[in-house]
Amino acid sequence: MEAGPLVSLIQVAVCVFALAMGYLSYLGFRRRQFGFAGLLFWQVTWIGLTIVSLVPQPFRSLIQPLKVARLMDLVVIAGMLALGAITYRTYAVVQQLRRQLEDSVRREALRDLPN
Amino acid sequence: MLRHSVSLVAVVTSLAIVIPAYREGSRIGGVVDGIPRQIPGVENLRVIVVDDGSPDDTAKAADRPGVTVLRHRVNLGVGAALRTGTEAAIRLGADIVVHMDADGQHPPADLVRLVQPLFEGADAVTAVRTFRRPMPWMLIFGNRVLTLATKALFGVNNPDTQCAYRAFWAHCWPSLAWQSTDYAFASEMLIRAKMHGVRWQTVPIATIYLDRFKGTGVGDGVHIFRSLITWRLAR
Repeated sequence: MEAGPLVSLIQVAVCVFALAMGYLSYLGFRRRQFGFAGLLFWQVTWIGLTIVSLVPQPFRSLIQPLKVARLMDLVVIAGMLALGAITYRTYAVVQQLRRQLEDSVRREALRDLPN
Repeated sequence: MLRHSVSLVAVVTSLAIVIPAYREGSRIGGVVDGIPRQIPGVENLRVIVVDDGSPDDTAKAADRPGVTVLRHRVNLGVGAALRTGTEAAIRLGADIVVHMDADGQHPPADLVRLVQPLFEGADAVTAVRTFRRPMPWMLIFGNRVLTLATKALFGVNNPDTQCAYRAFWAHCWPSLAWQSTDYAFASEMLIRAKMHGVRWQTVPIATIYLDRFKGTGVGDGVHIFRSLITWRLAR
């Protein structure tokens, strides 16, 4: 039987992606776009992605009880759930900011008029 | 619910014309200058221009004696600009609020005809354009679809729901106050008026189109239609 490469191309791609995102998260923290809790959350996320990609064996035990066929399916499902949650959160924040911006801009425009 | 009589003419002292403007530096001056200074039944006429975050000199071009210029620091949309202008008009003591476009689509000479029904018992009046050339074909189609949809979904019987030339008594404002910041506000206002029993009348005006690439586009039309569906489902 021919032995395959030790690390596949997709695993390398995931690692490079996680490394880049980890660096961007660090930059975001240094630029004060978010606090230490945000940095911790995103670094744990990217490190976790790297571990699942490089060392998938320990996580295969999750497949059976969760009734999914492959570890890849589990990662995709978890990713979609996370994406849905992040999209919702982003939508809610954008709507709130839009409303606050509108109130602020309109209040400023009317500032010099009698109440 | 909102009733007036001809005798109210005597107590009308102030009319405010609200003009939302975005990138209209080349036209707004002419529009403001074309507004008649005398309207029967009106003692005090005020013009309020709301510059909705224009990158050009719209605010400067509109600035002249007797004109109140308000400015949004960022572009919020025509619905938000008209809301700001309407609130300003009411704070400044207007009895009647008129909405007029800044691009010259609405003949200022029609102003007297537009407000006349208010003195005859109407709560609000909208102008109605003729859906034919020079209005672009796409807008004719879009306006017809939105007008039909508004009638079918909410029973609003207005032949031109998207026309922005309108006048209403200031005390109707709580019944009309819209939340939409974009072009959907016109439909929302009519729907709120219907819900609160505001009596609308219509006045035909000439259809003038000076710029094919400004104003309501296909995307705006789709958004308004989607808003109509959403409001219907939410009721």
